Formats: sequence, structure tokens, C-alpha cells
Amino acid sequence: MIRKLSLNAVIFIVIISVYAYILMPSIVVVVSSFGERFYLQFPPTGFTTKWYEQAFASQDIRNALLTTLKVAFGAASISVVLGSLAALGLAKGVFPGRDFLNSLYLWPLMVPNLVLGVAFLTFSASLGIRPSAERLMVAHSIVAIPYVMRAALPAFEKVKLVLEEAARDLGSTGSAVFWHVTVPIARTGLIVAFFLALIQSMDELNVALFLAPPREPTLPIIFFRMIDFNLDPTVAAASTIIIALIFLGLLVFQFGASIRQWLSRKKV
Amino acid sequence: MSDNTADAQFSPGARPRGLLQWTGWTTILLIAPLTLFLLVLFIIPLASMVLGHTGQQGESNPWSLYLKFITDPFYRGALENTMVVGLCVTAIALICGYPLALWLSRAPALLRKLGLMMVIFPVLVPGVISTFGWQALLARRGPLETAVDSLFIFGNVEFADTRLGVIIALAGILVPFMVLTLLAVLEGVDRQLEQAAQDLGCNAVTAFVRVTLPLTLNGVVGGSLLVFVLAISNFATASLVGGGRVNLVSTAIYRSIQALDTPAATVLSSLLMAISLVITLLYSRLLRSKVAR
Repeated sequence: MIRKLSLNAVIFIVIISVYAYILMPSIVVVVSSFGERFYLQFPPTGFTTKWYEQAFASQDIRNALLTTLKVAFGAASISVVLGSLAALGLAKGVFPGRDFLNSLYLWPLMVPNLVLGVAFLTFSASLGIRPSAERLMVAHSIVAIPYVMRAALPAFEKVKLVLEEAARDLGSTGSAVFWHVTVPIARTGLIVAFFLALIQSMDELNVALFLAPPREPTLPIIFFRMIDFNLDPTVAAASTIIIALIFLGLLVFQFGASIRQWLSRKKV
Repeated sequence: MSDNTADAQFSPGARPRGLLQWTGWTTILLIAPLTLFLLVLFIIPLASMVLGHTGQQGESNPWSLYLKFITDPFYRGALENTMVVGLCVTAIALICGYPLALWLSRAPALLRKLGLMMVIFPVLVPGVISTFGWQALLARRGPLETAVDSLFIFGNVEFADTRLGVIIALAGILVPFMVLTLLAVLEGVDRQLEQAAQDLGCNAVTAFVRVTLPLTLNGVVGGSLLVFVLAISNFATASLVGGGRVNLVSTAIYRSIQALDTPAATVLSSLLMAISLVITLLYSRLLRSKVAR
């Protein structure tokens, strides 16, 4: 009995410790964003929200956010358009080399971001392409391709041929079947693919550090610079906002269905 | 679209792809854009980088370039550091990640959902932000240093700007990846096997060690390879937590780009890519052998 209790206690301590280990940095960032001192301090002294005011007021952060969004939406669009076309072709077509292409589209995953950044940088420089947000957009879309394919391919394959057959038996023409059967079913997969590409681009630092024009940094780059140079709690404030958004989003995603159920129960 | 002739194109043995099976031009039109895109903007830049085309004057023979770097003590030190960091991070991630994955695989539904969410959460947080938190934790006279110093056993330990600090921070960031990989494998293990072992007389721990653990070896290796690759290619965390003082392949690449030393950057990048490719191929070979079993 005692042995079982002590085993459970050990397990409890181990689990809590590991969770503390992985969650500590986020907790530190959130807590220290309220500190009084102008330098980052943990544990912090005093309580203030002035760093949040500074974060909202910061023109640098706001511009970087806009750049990040522009690059992310651009990269996601490129990769999803190209990716869904290819996924459709792969899912529906039968041709030699299909398996090879399938793996080719996953190759960017095997190459570290850093390496891709260097290769793309030297390649575009030797072609005389000037630094621009668009260049970063293209690079990010390449990095996003594997994620998009992994979401889009199953989406199109999921459209059971039974459903298409049924539609055809009921008299639909080929294109009507495509638009009214294939696309709606594959749609969620494509939306997921788009979000994956979006998030990947917004978090990405390595490639962006090399390819973003010096005057048009993305949000991760701005954070990197601010941390590197002055460890100002403003970064902590801005980071906390992002952390809060992620946490809320994840909460809704994991427990959304149960939350909705619980809400509708209350109304009765 | 060859609608009406779709049936005629089924050959024996080929999986029927539905009546919207398109062959010929339509398929080519669909896959061409992405394939060309990747070819021109991914394959070619990488290939030219590996072959040593730096776009500068005096493109030397790539082999002489590589040789020059392998023999340079600075870069050898960077490689050595990177390997040590990679191995240590992987070991720590395994030690921390396995128990967590095990617990998650056996936790009751609600707790499991919550626990899983708290594992995925740090993965979604941008690396810069996690790094920021670690920097504050590992700072000189910061919380971790004061805590360890108060224990008196280790003497005066420093974490800031050290390889140790980088290892601790990097491992903390990569544990979730290990957990997720292990969890996937653990869920495939039949719990009844362990139960049977216990019925035959061993206690819980022995049953786990001799039954479940060997079955998850694939996940252990897979997760370790994943974490290792992520650790050696990491730049942001290593550079900030290491304060620029820890010499790694990734920081050396960044430095050489900043110094406009393109040959150095391309050689180091090719090296990093080679290591990562070998490991990734090992990983996929491993996956395939698991499926074959």
C-alpha cells in the first residue's frame, strides 16, 4: 500500500516537474511583462501595465506585425494554391513517378530552415534579386509546402469515389461533381493547410533573418533584435499578448466542442 | 477531362481512382506548377550551394573549399560543440519526455486532453518568445543560478552565455517534440500485454521495462533523431542564450552571412544539411522497417 502511494507520489513529482520545465519560459515571459523595472527581471518587482502601453504604441512592432501578416498571407496563398492543385493531381491521377513526386513535395522538411535561408539568399543574390518582402514570401511558401501537402493530400483522397460515383449516377456532369462534391469535402483540409502555412510563416525566424529587408523586419525578427539589444519588458508585453492568443486558440480547439455543449445545456 | 473513357483506362492491378480519374494533360497541368516551383526555387539553389557556387569571383573547386573548412580549428570546434549540444539535448529530452508520454497515454480522458494541450502549447509559441523566457531564467544572478548556488554542492555555476545554458534551454524547448513522437508510438502498444506480464507475476515496473519499453524502441529512436536534427539546426535559441559566446555551426553560419563570407556560410550550411539529410533518411528507413514488421 505504501509502495503504491510512494510510486504515485514519485510519478506526480516527475510529471509536474517536466511540465514545469516546458512551461517555465512562457510563465516567465508573462509574469515579467508586469515588472516595474526597465530591464527584464525575474522575479519582477512592482506591478505595472506600462509595457503593454508601450507595446501597443510601438511603431516598430506595428509595422513588423503588418509585414509579418503580409508575408504570411502571401506565403500561405502561394503554397495552398500550388499545393492543392498538386494534391488534386496526385490524389486523382495515375501516372509513373507519382510516389516520387509525393516524397519530393516533402523534401523541404528534411533541410534545416537555416540552410534553406542561406541557399535562397546566395541564389537570389547571384541573380541580382533585391531584398524584398516578396522574396521572403516565396521562401516561406517553399517551407510551407510539406505542411500544406500533408493536409491537402488526405483531404482530396478522402473524397470517396463512392460519393463521386453516386453524384454521377444521379446525373451530374464531371465539373459539377468536382465543384459540388469534391471541393466541399476537401475544403476543411484546405483550410487547415492554409492555417498551418500561416502559422509556420508567422513564427519563422531563421529564413526571415536572412531574407527580410533590413528596414522591413517581421515580428520574430523584431523580437530577436529587441531581446538581443536591450531585453526591454516591452518585448515581454508583446510576447504575452501572443501567448494569450495562442493559449485561447488552443483552448477553443481542444475543448471547443465540449464548451459549446456546456453552453447549450445551460440555456435549457 | 476524359470523362466517358475513364472506365476504359482502368488497368488490372491499378487502384481505381474514381470516375474523376484524370490522366494525361490534366494531371500534368495540375502537378506542373508546384513541381517547377520547387525545382527552380528549392532544388536548384540548394544544389548550387552544395556545389560551391557562391556567386563571387574565383569560384574554387568545391572540394578544396570543404577541405579548408574541415581543417580549420575554429570550425572544428563549432562542429564539436554542435554535436555535444545535440546529443545532450536529445538525452535530456528523452529522459524528461518518456515519463510524460507514458503518463499521457494512460491518463483518463479529460486529464489527457488537458495534458496534451499543455504539451502542444509550447510548440505553438514562437521560438523567440520561449528563448526570451529562458534567457531571463538563465541570466547571471537570475532565478536558476541563485537556486543552484543556494544548494552549495556545485560551487559557483554559471548558465548565461554557456554551452550548458544552451543545452538546458534547447532541451526544454524540444521536449514536447519527443513527447508527441513517443505518445504516438505508446498508443499503439497493447496494454493487455503488460497486464498479462503482471498476471504472470512481475510487478508494475518490471512489466513496463520488459514488455512496453522494448516495443516503443522505434519511437525512442525516431523521437531522438527528430530532436537531434532540430537541436543542431537551431539558431535563435542557441545564439541568444549563448550570448554569441557559444560557438556552434548555426551561429557560425549566421556570423559568416553577416560578415559577407559567403564561402564559409555555404560550406557550413552544406555540412549541416548533409548531417540532417543522413539522419532524416535513417529516420524514414526506420519508419519503413516498422511498417514492414
